[in-house]
Amino acid sequence: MRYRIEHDCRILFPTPVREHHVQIRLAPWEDGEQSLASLKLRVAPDAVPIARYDGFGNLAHHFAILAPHRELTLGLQAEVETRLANPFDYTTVDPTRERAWLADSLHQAPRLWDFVLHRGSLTPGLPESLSGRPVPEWPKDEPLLRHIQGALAWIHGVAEFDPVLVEPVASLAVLVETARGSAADLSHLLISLLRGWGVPARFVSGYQDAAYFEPDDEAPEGTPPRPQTLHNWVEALVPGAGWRGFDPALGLMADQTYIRVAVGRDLTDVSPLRHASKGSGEAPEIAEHLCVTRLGDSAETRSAA
Amino acid sequence: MLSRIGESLYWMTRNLERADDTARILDINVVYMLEATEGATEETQWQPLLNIVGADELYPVRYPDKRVTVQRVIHLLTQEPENPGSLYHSVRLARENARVVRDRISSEMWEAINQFWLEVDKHLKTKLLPWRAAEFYAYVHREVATFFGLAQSTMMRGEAYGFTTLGSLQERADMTARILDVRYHLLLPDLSMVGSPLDYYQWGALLKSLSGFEAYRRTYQTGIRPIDVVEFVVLNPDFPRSLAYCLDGMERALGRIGIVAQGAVPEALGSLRAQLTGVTAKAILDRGLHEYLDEFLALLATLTVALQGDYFEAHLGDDL
Amino acid sequence: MLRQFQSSGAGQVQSSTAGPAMAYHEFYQDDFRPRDHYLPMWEHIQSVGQQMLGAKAREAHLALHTEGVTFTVYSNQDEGIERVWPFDILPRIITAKEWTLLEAGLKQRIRALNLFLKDLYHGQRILKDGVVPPELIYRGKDFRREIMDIDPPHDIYTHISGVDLIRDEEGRYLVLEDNLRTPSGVSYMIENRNVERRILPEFFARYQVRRVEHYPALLLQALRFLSPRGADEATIVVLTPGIYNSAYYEHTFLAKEMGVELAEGRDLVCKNDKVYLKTTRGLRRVDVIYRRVDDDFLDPLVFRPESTLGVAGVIDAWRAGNVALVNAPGSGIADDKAVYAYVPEIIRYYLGESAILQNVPTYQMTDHQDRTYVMDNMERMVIKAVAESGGYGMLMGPASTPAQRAEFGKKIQEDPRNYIAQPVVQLSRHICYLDGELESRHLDLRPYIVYGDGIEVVPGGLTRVALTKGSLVVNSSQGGGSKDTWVLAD
Repeated sequence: MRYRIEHDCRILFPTPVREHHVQIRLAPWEDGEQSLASLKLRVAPDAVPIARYDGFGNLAHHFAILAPHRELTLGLQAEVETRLANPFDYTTVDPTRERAWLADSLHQAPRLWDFVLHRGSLTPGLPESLSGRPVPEWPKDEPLLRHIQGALAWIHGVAEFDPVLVEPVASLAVLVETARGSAADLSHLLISLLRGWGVPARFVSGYQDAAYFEPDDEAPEGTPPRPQTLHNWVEALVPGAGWRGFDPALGLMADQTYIRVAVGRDLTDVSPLRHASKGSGEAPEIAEHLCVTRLGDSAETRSAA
Repeated sequence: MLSRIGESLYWMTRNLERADDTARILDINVVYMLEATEGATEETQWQPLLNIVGADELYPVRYPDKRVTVQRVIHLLTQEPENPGSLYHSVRLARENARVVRDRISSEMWEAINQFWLEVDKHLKTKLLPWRAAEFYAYVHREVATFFGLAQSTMMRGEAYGFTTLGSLQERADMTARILDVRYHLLLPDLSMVGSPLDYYQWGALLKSLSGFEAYRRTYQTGIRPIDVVEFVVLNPDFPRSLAYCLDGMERALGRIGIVAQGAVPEALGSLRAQLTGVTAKAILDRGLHEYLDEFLALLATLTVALQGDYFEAHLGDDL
Repeated sequence: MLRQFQSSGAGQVQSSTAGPAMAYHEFYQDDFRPRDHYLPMWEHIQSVGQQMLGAKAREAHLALHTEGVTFTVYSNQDEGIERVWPFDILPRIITAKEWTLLEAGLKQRIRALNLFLKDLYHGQRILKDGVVPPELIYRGKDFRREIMDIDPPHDIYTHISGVDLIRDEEGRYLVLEDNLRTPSGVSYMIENRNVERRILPEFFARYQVRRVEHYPALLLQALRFLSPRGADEATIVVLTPGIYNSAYYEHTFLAKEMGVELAEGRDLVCKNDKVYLKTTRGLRRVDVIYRRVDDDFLDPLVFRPESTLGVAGVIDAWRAGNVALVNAPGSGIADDKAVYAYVPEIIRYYLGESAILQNVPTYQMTDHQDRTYVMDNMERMVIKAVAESGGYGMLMGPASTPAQRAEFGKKIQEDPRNYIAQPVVQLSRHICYLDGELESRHLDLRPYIVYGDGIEVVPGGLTRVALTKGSLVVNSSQGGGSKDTWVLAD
């Protein structure tokens, strides 16, 4: 699938700031399943963004504006092609061999340990049950994929996806109590669960096809689509397949309608915008506008279909 | 030199000079209040001080009934926590800046200012009463003089010394212009008026506020004439609080610091110099002293901005 | 598993610590005569009379006071209390033979630890080969993913290290801790020597003592060596957290001695991956930053976002190779107290040699068997939080109360990766001149190692003394003192 992404961001301070350093993770990632056809970044006041890869291999850009200013705008325009038409299309590993396959992967690439061992306030170890529902396990010799899908259903029972939560992340306790959570909250819960199983699991931020923001069938006629935003989901290392995306918010497996931007241990590693400036210290107002447009099926996917 | 260090040296002495000048005008007014009785109300005696130090806007906020009393003015200008320009705050800021540049000033200077601050802080924990004020202000004069004396006798004559002297002289010029402006304005609403005995005391107070009474008397044997006072306070290059003296010193200080050729400081300095060149006291009075001093104060403010751009935030001008 | 003494089971260690052995005495032999290398000094004291030490001690205190050699102790007030550096006038003397061994052992250790850091932040061979458990690294507080795959100049991470050494009951030197982040105390090593040389020249006349005062020159040379624009064009700064830092005195000392600027974070600014100093003449490019600011506060864009002590963008400039950071961020994982236990294996792995300097035996609280043993024997253990230093976050078993032990027990159960335990080692003792008497006190040794164009160990170090009788805590923040440390030339 080919997409055009237009992402605009405006930062407005109540009083002027200076020495404003900005770091963004907004550009789509490149690998076998996703490639970047073009990328343009505009910044005002004028600055030259420098590209680099962070410790997780994410493409990040940074720039600085030293002179006093109240307003900063940045616009990203990218064209990207996604190829993962069918996430189930891979050679499976015999369920009795899956744990050994994971152990071997960890041995070959010790950096994967980060996605197994990391515990933090966003991804804590889980108790035996949440809201009276026993936390699922991954029994010996059973296919991992099926149990991850079971886990998605379980999460849906613990907390529902709420696309318009004001607070972007809540602690596990709040999530369980309110039974509602953002995409990031639900992703953190799935990550905690998978890491408890010893399965490498990482947090993903990215774009989605605009169709996901359309009102659902039950909404009254004429309901406008939700404003598009960066979405969050989870990637787990699936034996035989490698990294596969799971979206606990929508209960889906990620396919070519999901466009990855950055991965990390949790939300803090993939911050789309980090910035530091000198000024009065008052928080700025940040306005964002995102528009993902489908440009059509790519040649490759068409032929695969 | 690091910009932060230069800036701290400059504000260290500027604040210290301000504390000293504030003490001086208060001191003189306290003494004057004891002597003069004829026709002067508490209000007419103390209101000018508020104008000089720029506290005339703060006063009605702090005291909504707007009644001007000696007790209140002393409190406001000396120790009021809400007044950022109070003597207390000036000493605090001076010491804070000194702490930043502790390595660049002599240890004697640091010890002197640190001790001074600790004493002031202790002293002003309680309310300063008018009859104890003179004693306190005398203490402030002594300590500030000690500090400047140490600076002169223990600092290398380089960039750091340049910023140190620049700060004190610029503040002094600023205060001199304000004192002259406010006092003159009140004393001589009508240029044709001839001095009365009351005026003698008031003019004396003006000169004393500038520590220039005796020097003036030695220079001019004819009694106190407004035109001579203006000449003395504005143009006399040897009177250490005159505008001319301060500007000479500021030019020397900037010479030590090093002029930035493309900077804004040379122009600001040039305008100040032009303001003092080729004028006589008579010409100034004919044109209007208030306008003249107003212009001078505006030029000093321009210089402060220019210093910021040329030295303290020099990096902002660098094209990267 | 108990690292280091692998052949000995927990039971065996238990029996050997049943009754504490006598601490090694640096000064006296077993027959209570001074050791040979202390004889010239001792004979001098005897010939002049011991009372001369009193006058010398007062002179030393006065000299340190006048020069403003201080350190800052923090309690509950926001502003710390500045104290005169506590100094004992009797020097600690290390023979040339002992030093040869120490020097070789320290160089070996630092070489191996730098290879280890390079490996951890790149290919992670040591984890693939199962020598160090991945959990130790990935659950370590000071492992910095943010610097993965960055190549610091010349592959050096720890340009300045201070390794804490102690001597066990047999007089063997053991490594207690590697300090690889921003080790402090080197200014006191030099001040101690300055004072000692001034007030007791007669001691020096009887020995050939190797010099330590060239440390700032050595450091400057190493810093220049790292400059991306070449040594001749190097602008070097010492980056301090500011006047409230307990080691601020040392920061000003080193900047002054090296003749470089002492900068705070706000004096530096980054643009286009280069770092600049804000001066009254505009921006000046910076090549090397000797930073005394911890990783966490170094760059708000990468580490703690609320930090105002650091320089936004400095890590990007470092990644781009436009500035050298000393020590490299991320070095802290190699002196983590849990990783410490693996240093002998790390040396063997990278250098194919066995460790010249031994570790203090260490129990891993992540190991079930070790943990059970430690829990049962807490009053005989020193328990340390792995990411703390300066004697904080530590339980001294023999001096602890049941309540303190219960509290630590609970903390260990909650976060075993965060703690290690070591049997109490009786630090060696030395005579000190205290209140007119010669008294024996426990002490340790921190030599300083500079890694630039080669590894250099400064012949000397900071000897810290536990001034309280019987105490084993030598940190100056907790009532420790210090001695001049002499390494003999032959």
